[in-house]
Amino acid sequence: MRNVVLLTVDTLRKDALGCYGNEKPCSPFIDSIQNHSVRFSSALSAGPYTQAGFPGILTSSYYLDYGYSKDKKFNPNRVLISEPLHDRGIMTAGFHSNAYLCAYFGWNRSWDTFYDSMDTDVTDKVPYVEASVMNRKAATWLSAQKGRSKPFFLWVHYMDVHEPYIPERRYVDMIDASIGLGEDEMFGLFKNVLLKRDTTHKDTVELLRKLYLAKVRKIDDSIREFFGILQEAGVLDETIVIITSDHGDEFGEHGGLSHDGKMYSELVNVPLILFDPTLSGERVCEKVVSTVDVPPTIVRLFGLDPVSRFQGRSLFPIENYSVTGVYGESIEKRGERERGDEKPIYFYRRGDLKIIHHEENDSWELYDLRTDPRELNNIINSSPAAEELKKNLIPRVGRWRR
Amino acid sequence: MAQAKKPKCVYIFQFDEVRYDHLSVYGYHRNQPNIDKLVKDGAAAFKQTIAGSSYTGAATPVLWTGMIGPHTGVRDPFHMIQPTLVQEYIKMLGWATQGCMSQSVAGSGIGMNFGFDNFVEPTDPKAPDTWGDGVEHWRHLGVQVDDRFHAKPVGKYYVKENIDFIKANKKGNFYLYNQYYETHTGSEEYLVRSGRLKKGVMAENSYYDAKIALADSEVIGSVIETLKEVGLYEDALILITGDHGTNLRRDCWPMGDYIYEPLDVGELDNTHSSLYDVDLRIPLIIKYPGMPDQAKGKVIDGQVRSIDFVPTILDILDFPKDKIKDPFDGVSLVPSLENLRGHGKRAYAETVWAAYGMGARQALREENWKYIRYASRMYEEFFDLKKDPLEQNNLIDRLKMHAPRWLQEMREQVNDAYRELDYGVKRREMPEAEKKAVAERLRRLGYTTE
Repeated sequence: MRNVVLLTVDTLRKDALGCYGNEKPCSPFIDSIQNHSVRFSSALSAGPYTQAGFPGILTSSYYLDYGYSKDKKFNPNRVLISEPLHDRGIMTAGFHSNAYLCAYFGWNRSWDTFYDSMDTDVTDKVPYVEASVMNRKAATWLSAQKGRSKPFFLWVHYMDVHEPYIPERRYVDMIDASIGLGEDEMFGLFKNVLLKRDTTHKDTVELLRKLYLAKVRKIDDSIREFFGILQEAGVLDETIVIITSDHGDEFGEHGGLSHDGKMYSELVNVPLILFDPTLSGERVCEKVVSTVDVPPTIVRLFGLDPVSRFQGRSLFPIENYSVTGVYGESIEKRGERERGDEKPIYFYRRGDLKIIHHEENDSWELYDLRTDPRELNNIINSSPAAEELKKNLIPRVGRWRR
Repeated sequence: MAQAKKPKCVYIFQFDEVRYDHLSVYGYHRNQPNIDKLVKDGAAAFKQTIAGSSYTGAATPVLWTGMIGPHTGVRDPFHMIQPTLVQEYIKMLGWATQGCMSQSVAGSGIGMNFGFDNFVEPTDPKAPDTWGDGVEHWRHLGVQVDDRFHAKPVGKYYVKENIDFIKANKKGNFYLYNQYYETHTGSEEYLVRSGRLKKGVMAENSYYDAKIALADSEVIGSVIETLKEVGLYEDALILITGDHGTNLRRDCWPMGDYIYEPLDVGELDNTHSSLYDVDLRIPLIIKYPGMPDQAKGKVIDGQVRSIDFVPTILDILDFPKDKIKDPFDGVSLVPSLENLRGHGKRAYAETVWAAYGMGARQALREENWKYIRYASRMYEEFFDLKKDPLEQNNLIDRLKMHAPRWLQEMREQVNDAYRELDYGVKRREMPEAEKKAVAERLRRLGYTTE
């Protein structure tokens, strides 16, 4: 039986990667493995920020499925991917540095090894443990697996793309050598522009976008390093690697920065790549799929029975994956500060149509992504499909209260 | 207090619904040979051990956090354990931990899984349900029943998991916890049907003694045998206890012709829902290397409490005090093992989940007396346990007359505990500190929450 690795990159926009159409050279390594990969061109996250997106990737459920609690604790009824795997004798390990996914909130269940970095000091400028350290930890763990007959599931999550955007000089130079900012100035942009969601100056927003891309370029190197570690451990040939993200990032597309409670493409479109060393040739799947499909896919790759509480469906065999549309939801927070009285926001996408519902004022948006990929022209009142699409979303609205 | 010789491993066995007075170590006429063997090999037993609740879901967190109900955060099936659990402390020592839970009201739903590397519990919806109509039983209490809630794996207790775990950690440094449901009312039907209990043998009280005998031979016996096999028996801290007692009615009280009538015998009040001694006194048998010689093989008759277990275990393991995150409500029993007496401290117990039996009730108990308040029905009781161990003669009026200040002080104590119920769970220091660390990390990422 083969091993499965889930590599997740926090805040990675789909269109930041070359294989998804970015012309800037941000992802040479990820692009280079496409000839052994299946790439999902329309994968959507179950939510636009970590707390809303990760229940999809690791529990195949939606943020509001088990009610909404302000303390953000992991509802014990959610099934974490580590649980069915651990139960069937697969070694499970998770390494990450996102405080929203730490043991305090309950994300440490059933992992044989779980590192959430909360015991490690971090700084204001790099408020997480970096990918190089995650890679070292994963390497140590992998070397301890040598000689074991059990297959493993390894989850590694990188925070390095997340704000504050303070990339190293050499990565800035790869994107735009004319940027002359020092670390303190970049940190100043974080505090004075990004945290304030200030998009008044187009040039500054563009500058932030470039700094972000420089961080993407760096994470591509980290992923290259990680594949080297798999190779060195002698498991690359027998390991499937899934690469995805919990959400994207906004650079003024809809009047904001960072990732708040919005359902537009820059936040909910994510890369989803499945690297299988036995494949040859680039394969692209254009079906609209969701990150809630990741856990059932992993269970399937290990040849285990489906888990009844998982809401997604296995992406393989892909010809059996019927397109029924995908959902996402979150709390409609605006800005760095959650006021505490925000209401949920939901989306449903089928084909090129995406409908969004704001519980706050009971309003709707509908976009045709084929003719309006930037989601600027709300056709809720003119589209003949509107009523039927609404019907798909209405049963989900308000269920967090029940 | 540091011991000369520290245990290399810990084994905890927690009976469900087993009264202390049905064990031979306390003088019962039917024997549990394996438990008796432990005592013969140097274990000590405490005779007046008071549980924190008469409801498993609330009593279990009390046992394994060293905190009273208002501080565990669990007073009904809907809350999570707040303080650090003993297995989380032991995890800090780098030990391997395994928990075998056979009762889903005290499982991962309330966070009993925290700190266990491996936690097995009856979440399999196909697991046999001992209640027969168990789902209806819980629905009657206003509980929305799902598979996780009522599943109990009767007839397939985790004996193999225990043995495999011990053998995989034969060098020691492990913590193994068993919660054993099959002594609880309702298990017998399956056990008899499947031939694990002989029909008609020790059949009174729903095969109560037969079920205890089965636990002794199949689980406790097999663990002792395995510990001996890997050479850890002499180096193990072994602790046998229960979550709460039970009311076995007129013909079931083994030590006299006692007729127990609860305050109001409703349909649901016929087993453990009161705070009388029948429901609160649990067994406590403990054996570890370095036990004071004078305690070996002794039955100590002095009040101790289930909140004392965690401080005792950590004391015996010489766990670094500065790593203890919460101030325990209990104290170590090592001094009691040295001087063969109770510590004289007051016990608090509560069963405040109103749907469970008779409404919210709280009790204070010392060696000679007990005070019970029934908040849901404006009723109080006071018993002189020396003269009236069966709690039949309510002296509350005399107390009002002759000792109003004492009564006032007790009312204030239960008020305080009750108030914490009113205002929700009181979060303890540990989660606060951890919460701060998390909030700080998030602030740096740009998520200001406060």
